[in-house]
Amino acid sequence: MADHDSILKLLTERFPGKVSALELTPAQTAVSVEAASIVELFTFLVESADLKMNYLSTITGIDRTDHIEIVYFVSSLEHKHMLTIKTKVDRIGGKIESIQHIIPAANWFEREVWELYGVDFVNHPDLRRFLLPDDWDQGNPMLRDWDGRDFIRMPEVQ
Amino acid sequence: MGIISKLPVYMENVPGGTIVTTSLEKVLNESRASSLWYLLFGTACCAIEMMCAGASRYDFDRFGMFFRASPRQADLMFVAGTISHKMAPRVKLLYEQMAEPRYVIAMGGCACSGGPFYYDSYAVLKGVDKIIPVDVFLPGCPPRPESLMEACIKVQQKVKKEKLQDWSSDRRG
Repeated sequence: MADHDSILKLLTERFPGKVSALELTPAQTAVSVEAASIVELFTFLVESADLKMNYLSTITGIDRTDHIEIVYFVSSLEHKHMLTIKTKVDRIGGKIESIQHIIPAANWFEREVWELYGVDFVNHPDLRRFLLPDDWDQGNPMLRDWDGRDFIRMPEVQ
Repeated sequence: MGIISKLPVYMENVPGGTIVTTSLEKVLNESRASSLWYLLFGTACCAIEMMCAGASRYDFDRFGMFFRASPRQADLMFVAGTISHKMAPRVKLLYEQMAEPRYVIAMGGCACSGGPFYYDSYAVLKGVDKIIPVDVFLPGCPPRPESLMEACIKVQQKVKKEKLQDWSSDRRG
């Protein structure tokens, strides 16, 4: 099992300038990565004998109003360590390379992020409607400025 | 006298015989009200309370209420839980598959109005009455089995008041 500091050291030395350590909570090892290096990073995470990140918990998005943050949670069932990976894409027409060919479980997560946040996953084999109703025509509902039919925003509490 | 003395007041006992006189409407309504079979259909935590009400502690069987797994055999539908926009067409379909006369109890805040998902939700239908007619609204989050029992008694009262001449396929518009 690789500990917090050695995972961060390994990744920042392997990807200088592309990966940087993030301070979240003491229990959470986290890095931020450039969107362009995501495939390179995941290939390394899966193939590295020290890391062996073979389990993808989830991929999710956060609308930070000026960009979309995509968060990947990976862990190693063998070494029993976890890693949180954050990356930024454009809010409108954001694009990022799919990691489905490295970790097949990413398929559905990427479809979910695609339909809820409008982020395009390049080279995804099957990017189609996932959780929303089949006849959904109201855009990406998890964006903060989204408005739709019979959507009622919470009034400001004084 | 035995059971004859315990008959409901609208039945008239003919002295010295085994015959009672009453109206067909009342017999039919009493039978229907005492055998409200409900559709086993729950989408969220309200379903847990519904199951509890049907199980031995609250024992809906004593009202003649049994769950049915098919809408074709059900008289009553508990909309027990949050209905999302994706689920809404299925709820409507299930309602339409039920044989008439049919009754609906909107159980819990979500089925009544959207409940805790009223604000800031893109996914939840704001009240099941937007898609199907509802007979009894039962608030609570979730309501206790006693409340559900009260709602069922309300439906029974409604059933008993119905007139035979009102039975038609377009009774509910």
